Amino acid sequence: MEKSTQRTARLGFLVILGALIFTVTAYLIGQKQDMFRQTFVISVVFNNVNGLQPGNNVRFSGINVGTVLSVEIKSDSVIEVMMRVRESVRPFIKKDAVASIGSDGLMGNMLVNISPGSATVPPVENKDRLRSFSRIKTDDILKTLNMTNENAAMLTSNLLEVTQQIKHGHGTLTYLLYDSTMRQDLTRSIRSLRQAMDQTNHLLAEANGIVEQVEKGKGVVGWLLTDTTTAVHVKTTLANLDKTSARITLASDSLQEFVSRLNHDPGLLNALLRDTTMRTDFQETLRNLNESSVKLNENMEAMRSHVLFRGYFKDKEKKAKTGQKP
Amino acid sequence: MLRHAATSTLLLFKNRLVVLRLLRQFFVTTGQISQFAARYWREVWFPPYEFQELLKQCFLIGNKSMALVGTTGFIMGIVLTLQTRPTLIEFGAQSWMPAMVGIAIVREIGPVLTALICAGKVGSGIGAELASMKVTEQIDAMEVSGTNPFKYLVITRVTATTIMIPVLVIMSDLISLGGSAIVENLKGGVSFTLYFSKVLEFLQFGDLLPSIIKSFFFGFAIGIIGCYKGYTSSRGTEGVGRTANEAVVIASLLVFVLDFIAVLVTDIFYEL
Amino acid sequence: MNSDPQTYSSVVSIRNLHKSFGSNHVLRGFHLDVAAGENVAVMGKSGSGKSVLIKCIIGLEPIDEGQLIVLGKDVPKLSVRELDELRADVGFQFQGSALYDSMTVRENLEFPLRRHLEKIKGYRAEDLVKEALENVGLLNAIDLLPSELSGGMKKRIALARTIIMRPKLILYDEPTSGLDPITAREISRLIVDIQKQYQAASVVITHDLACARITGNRLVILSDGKNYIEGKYEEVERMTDPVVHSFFT
Repeated sequence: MEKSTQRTARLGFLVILGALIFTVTAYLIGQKQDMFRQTFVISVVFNNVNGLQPGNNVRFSGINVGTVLSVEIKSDSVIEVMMRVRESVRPFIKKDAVASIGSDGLMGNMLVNISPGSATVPPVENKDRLRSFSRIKTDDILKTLNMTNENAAMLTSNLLEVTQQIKHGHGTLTYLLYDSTMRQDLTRSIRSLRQAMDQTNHLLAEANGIVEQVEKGKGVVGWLLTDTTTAVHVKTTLANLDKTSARITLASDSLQEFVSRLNHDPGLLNALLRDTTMRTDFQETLRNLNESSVKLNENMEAMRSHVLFRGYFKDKEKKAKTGQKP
Repeated sequence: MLRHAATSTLLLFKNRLVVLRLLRQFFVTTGQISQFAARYWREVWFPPYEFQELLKQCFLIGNKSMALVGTTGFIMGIVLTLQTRPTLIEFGAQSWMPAMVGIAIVREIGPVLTALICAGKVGSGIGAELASMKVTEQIDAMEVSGTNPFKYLVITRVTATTIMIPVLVIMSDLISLGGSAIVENLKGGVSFTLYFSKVLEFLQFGDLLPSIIKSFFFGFAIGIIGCYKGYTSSRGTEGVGRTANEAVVIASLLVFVLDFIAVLVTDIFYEL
Repeated sequence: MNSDPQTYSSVVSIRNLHKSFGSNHVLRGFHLDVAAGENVAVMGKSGSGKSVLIKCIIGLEPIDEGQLIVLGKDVPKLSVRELDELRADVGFQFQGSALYDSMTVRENLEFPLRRHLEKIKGYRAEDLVKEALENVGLLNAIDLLPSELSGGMKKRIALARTIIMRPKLILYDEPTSGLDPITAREISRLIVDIQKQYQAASVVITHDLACARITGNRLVILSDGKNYIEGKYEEVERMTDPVVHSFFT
């Protein structure tokens, strides 16, 4: 009797033990899936991993091909991400493949995306380092400003070309030089445009600085309330921006005037018509200029509606009203 | 002082003995259940087969638990949908409701909820029935009248639970999804057709199969525990109540343990 | 079946039977012979191992030691199948009747028939059930459930279930326990009737004197795991031995 109980107890112990071992094994196998598969390791360096963690998926053209092995800080802005990737996809990942950090869906986990690279380049090897691509996080305002800047730059280069041609007196352009009024007009408009450009650039730099500070997150409201110097700075910046846009409008107005004069003066028109290059150049210049002024105005509107700057514009409106009254 | 130390040491020693005895008791019970289950697998293959009794038990188990399982499943579907709706709406992801509820119910809630309810209802029923048969010598009477009571009582009941729990799980899944669809229909204006086609779109065979397989194990565990407890019940009528109680406790615990193991094992196959 | 009464001298032959549960040594060298058609009443105090004795006879309890031959078969050495065959010829009346709660009286009676179809060849199960019920006088209870029966009726139904197999040996475990004296007497008389009608030998385990007197051709008193005294009821009653005397006072 006693002996059989002993045996039963031993059987029970073995059953429990077996179940435990089975469970642990199942867990381990589930954890280390890639344990049974041929893999290789590649690394990539980012300066911001946006919360990527070891264990996150690695995708190649949208297919899960591996997991993140480790995320290590190498220096203050260099973070090395090691990835374990299935051997079977190695031939498709070329040496010039680019890795980027993305997220899985709206609320999904972070992941590393690898885009294939060019077909002619040899495939990656174990312990290779891929190139990384970081998305520039920019505020909407900054983006629009940048575009304005680009447009303005294009504008100046076009104008420069025109003036160059005028200076060297190529072909029919020399006709234009006889008309002194027009020359003066042109010079004036170019000068004002240059000025406007300089100021816009200056402003851009300043706005960039501000946005950066905001992004660093000093607590936006707190920053606006406590740091009066900055507040003043913003105010002047915005005032300048306002002025610039007015200047550009002015410049474009004078150019418009010039063009309308051209239209009314048949001699001039004829002379210009013969040189088609110059005509298209001028038309493009004009269009660009218009566009840029529109952009700048848009900019102003955007800023006006921006929470941070709302106070300033209200002040300004109030001032304008009080200024009108007396 | 010395005496105090001596008594406390003695107490400690006694306590350790108690722990050891409990541990031993645990192993003995596990061993006996294993032997019982092994006996089931040894005897289930050989005639005489009690088909009629098996059918009767299947019918009884299904019939007895259908209303309860259906009601709880229905409520679970409604509650789950109502509770998760605000969060999903916040993310603008209402259209994911069928997928979320479908996967939660089919993979986990349906099987475990049904198994727990059946552990309570069927497991205790079998335990109490067999225990009272044991106490009133009905099992002995069966044996002397030439019927193997293990085959007639245990094998039929364990087989019946093993077959019927998965059936009840599928039924519970469907009713849960129906409850969820009703909420979505009333609150979100989602048509039933859209709801179920969405569910079917997101659910894969790989979701359904493991949950059905684990339901078989749940059913087997519930049946074997109920039968073991009843069949080996100690004499006396108060033993019947205790047996039913123990059967529920052990079966419920076993359901969770099996579920845990099943999830770990399923995980392996998901990754492949 | 080859178990013809002429081929063996006694229906039950027990020599030096030992049985213990753990440290509790219940039977220590019990002897008993039951002739064909004979009723033996076994009396003893509760816990003296009376019930264990008849459970050993039918193979419900394994024995530790000794010789146990029933209907010419060595019980401890029988296989499961042979034991089933033997049990078809041995009826067992349980103390608590042990009717199957979930079945009607008819199903209860049909239950033993399902496994021994060869024994009822040529008969319809329905007829056998009715005959057995008539013999215990409860034909009208055929479609009732056990829970609807009184204690005495349950004992009768259980008896009907035992005799439906036409056993050559019937073992009774406390057939009159829990019954009022009048019903108990009825049951005792029924046992005697059945003995006459079916020509079956019986072992009646009881602590009821009246039952032992009515049913027993012979009385055995079980004490300390042995058959303390054997003899006719009247002989045993007149003995002055203190142990025996304690049963009759």
